[in-house]
Amino acid sequence: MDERRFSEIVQLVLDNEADEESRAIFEEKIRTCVKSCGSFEKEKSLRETIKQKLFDHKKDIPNDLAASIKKSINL
Amino acid sequence: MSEQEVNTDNQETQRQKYSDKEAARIFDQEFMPHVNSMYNFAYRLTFDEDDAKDLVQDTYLKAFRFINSFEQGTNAKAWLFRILKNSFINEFRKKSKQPAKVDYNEVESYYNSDDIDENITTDLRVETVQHMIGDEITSALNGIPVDFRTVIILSDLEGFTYEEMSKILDIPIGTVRSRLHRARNMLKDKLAVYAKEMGYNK
Repeated sequence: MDERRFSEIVQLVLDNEADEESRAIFEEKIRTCVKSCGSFEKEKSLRETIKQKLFDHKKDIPNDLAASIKKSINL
Repeated sequence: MSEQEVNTDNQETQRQKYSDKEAARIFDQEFMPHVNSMYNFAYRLTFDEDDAKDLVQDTYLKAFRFINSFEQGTNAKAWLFRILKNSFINEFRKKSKQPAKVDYNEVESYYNSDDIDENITTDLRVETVQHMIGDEITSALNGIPVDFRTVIILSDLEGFTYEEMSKILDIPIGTVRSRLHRARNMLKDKLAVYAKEMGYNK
């Protein structure tokens, strides 16, 4: 399996979207290939770091938005 | 705004007949808890606080207007995100303050070519990203075309599954999967370029 295909499977695994076949391929690969295992760990860490920084950088909602929405439909 | 904009294309909608009291309860208890996520999604699409606010208000008004198309117990958040996304594309993008958009089909074709991944993201290290601040990561995300940015937001920030994203975006699950993969590579590519420019790799 080439790196590109493995990279696609890693994405599916990290997204919890891998089917049984892909998951089996993934598990076999990281058990037998040190480089692939390292690639997976790096991708996982990158993903978590980027996600966390984006999550921490969320925009505060305007104070009056929820009230204004409810008012506009007479709730 | 047509009813099609609130329902998925392949969904034969069973219209409900909610009483005013039921409609108000659904709106308040099932729709309003998502206002924060909706606003953040809108802001990441428009890059403008006032525009994001207008887009969210418009979305909630449509959601109330078509509330009989919403089935209780189904995914209210995905339903609302779908309306917001359609509002953005059909109405808001036309008057957006942003410059002309890149044709994402061209970008997608480019990133789907066989050789593109070879040169991408090879020198982006975890430590480099850890040193970056949220502003820098956000700028990189904002720098990729909106249709790619959208799948990252829906997946990584809002936690939607591929199937839910497929319904929100009206694209096949296979396209969700490939677009998300390309989008993440594009984001990492942007981050790698930025890191190099800022000397993070030294």
